Amino acid sequence: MAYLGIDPKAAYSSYRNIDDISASFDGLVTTFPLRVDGVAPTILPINEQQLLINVGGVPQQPDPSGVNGFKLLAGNIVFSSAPSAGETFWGVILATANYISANTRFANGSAGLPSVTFASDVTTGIYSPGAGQLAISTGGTGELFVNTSGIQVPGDVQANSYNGGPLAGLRNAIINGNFDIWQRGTSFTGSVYGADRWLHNRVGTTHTATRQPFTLGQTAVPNEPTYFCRTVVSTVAGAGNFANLVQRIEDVRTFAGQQVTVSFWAKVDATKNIAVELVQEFGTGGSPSAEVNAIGTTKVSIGTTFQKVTITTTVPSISGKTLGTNNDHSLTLVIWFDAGSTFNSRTDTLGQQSGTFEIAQVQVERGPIATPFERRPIGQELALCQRYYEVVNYWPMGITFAANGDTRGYVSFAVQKRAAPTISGFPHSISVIAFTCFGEGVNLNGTIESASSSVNGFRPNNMGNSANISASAGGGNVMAWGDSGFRTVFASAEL
Amino acid sequence: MYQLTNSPTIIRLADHACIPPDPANRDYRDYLEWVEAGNTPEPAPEPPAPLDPVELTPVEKLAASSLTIEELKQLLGLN
Repeated sequence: MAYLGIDPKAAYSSYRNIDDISASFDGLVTTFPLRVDGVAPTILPINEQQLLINVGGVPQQPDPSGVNGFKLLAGNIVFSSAPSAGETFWGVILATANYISANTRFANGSAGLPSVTFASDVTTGIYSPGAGQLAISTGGTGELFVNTSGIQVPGDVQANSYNGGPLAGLRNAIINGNFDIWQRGTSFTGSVYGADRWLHNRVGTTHTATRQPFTLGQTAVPNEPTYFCRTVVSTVAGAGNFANLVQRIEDVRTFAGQQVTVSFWAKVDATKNIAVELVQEFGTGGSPSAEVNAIGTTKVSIGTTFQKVTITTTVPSISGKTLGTNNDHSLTLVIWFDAGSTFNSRTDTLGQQSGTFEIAQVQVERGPIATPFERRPIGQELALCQRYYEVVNYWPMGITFAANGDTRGYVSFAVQKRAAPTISGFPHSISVIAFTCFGEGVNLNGTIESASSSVNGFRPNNMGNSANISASAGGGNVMAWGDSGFRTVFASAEL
Repeated sequence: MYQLTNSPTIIRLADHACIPPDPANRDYRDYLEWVEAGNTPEPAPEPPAPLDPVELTPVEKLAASSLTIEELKQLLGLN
């Protein structure tokens, strides 16, 4: 028979020819099994409209009621009246009709027989394991599940990035965002580094910053943080006065030209605003570019219970900028509590105010989403802090040459510092046990006056009374000496 | 106020902190700004005067060498 246009059976490879059933036509039988290549299609058409059936050259009406034409029933073609013997038959299952059909409902399917599959692989596709659940299977095995709890992937996940940033850990650029590390103490006034990496900054206005514990089992801030930072601010009027909480993230390249999200939990003694901004500081030395401030400046109203603050912004590109030569540039997070009018443009006109401001779980991460706070192992967090500040407990010992007092000793830091650190804690007295070159042991007192530091450690500069030690020891030229106990010094290489 | 030392380290007298001459060190930059503002650090303390080389007695010299008299005699072929 000639066709107008192309042969519908061959127009698209996904058409399926239904086996010819005309040999069974006898004018009595109305029900015929639907077969393709001798077997029932793996997934049957779900309604009559997905079939074209022609008997004796007459198209048959698809009619689910079975009154006219034909209907589908349990995998059979059921005609409303029995085709007569000798009548011709052809039929097709429409292209992809048994897989994709608008405004219809698919069977739930299973991992082994997904409801939505593909021509070359009927065990790979989409199915629904249950109400409110969607799944994708490959080769008959469920590999990805979506339900009201989220997305579950039993196998490995491979991706270029999450939110454009690191795949899993170390996504928080803030160090000690959980306020777990307080090497310097737990209460501070003045404009000083207090909680590790955090600068409790002020001019004019006064404040006291302290470490405060969370109650065990509290649910106001999730995941059981141990501490938060409380800053009690007493404002002093003045255009240039302010109080804020600052962290300088080493390297202004951080997140440059990228979208970032700042998040933290905050609460105040009575509803007040706070302001948040990022600043690109290009360092000192040489001719560095001027800082870029007011990045993402946002003023947020905070209530008397902990609430999560989330701010997404884009950090400007640093193309065309010049870094200082002192390697002290940074991306800086500033949380403003009190700001004189000088800072209106950086704080969305926050203004001046007193109050008690409490901050917890600060995170700055790449991308548009505030992910749950990244809680790193405490040892790792401490090590990150120690790049900038370290309490060094050491046992003074060394060698002194009596003729000129030259003293040699060395103490390594636990963590290499960002820069040669300032060492405080000197001078400190030591109770020396010295051994002369004659093997004599003598008990003496001495003083280490100062130290010279590098990024890796420090050495005592001199023994204040090394010459006296030598004389008292009976004339030894070289003395090996050691203290009777540990001493403590503090190494600071903050930005 | 600052004080020089007999090494490159600068002492900040307020807390006797030892500041290394590293421009990446914030405290050192503060010191440099302080100097640029026209201030002058206190000089380094006088280093202790070198002692005269210690004159050892023959007995001390012998003790320092860990030799016994008999071993010394043997060494010198005096036995």
